[in-house]
Amino acid sequence: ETPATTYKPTYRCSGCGLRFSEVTSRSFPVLQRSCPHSCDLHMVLQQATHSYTKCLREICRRRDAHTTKQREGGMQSV
Amino acid sequence: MFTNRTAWFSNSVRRGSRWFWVSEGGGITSWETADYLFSEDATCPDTERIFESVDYAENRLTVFHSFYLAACEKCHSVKSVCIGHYVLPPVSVQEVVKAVVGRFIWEQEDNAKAVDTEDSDDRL
Ligand SMILES: [Zn+2]
Repeated sequence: ETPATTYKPTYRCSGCGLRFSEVTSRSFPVLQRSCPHSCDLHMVLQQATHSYTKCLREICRRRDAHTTKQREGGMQSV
Repeated sequence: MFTNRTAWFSNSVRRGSRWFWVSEGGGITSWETADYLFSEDATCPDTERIFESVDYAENRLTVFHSFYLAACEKCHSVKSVCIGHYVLPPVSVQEVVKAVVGRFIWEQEDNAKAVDTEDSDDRL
């Protein structure tokens, strides 16, 4: 079950130390990936996000393949 | 505080956060171009749309929890609040993270606690 306590890192990784002026919604994924020693939070966050986006890319790829097929007029059933 | 920065706000974000952003000089724009994306609820349709976007799939985007702004407002600074602790991931990711490390900082009842008081390390 989910632990009731809020995560409080004992160790601050570079993801933890980022200032507002140093990061945006667009640069955060890159900065997080380049951190060699992530804290527990940023480690698991990165891994879980990676699995999620991998799945999502697969869905996007299939969706693209499907629409391309339709556009080419080949209405074959899958 | 937020001059020359742009943000997109989900409909789930309470009005106060948006108002604080604008009153501190921040601009508001679409999610495709904003520097910062803020949401309060990963299940809000506008936020889910972002989590299903190509940009998100390609690891080009992070959504932050708008409680980050509330924490900044409370301590009148962006310097003492770790924005890296206010990442708002999709629900399935949240579940994995919570199983390992416990609650997210933005799940605290009193988000004043989220303020990092050890602001003495200016090494960065
Ligand atoms: Zn960290």
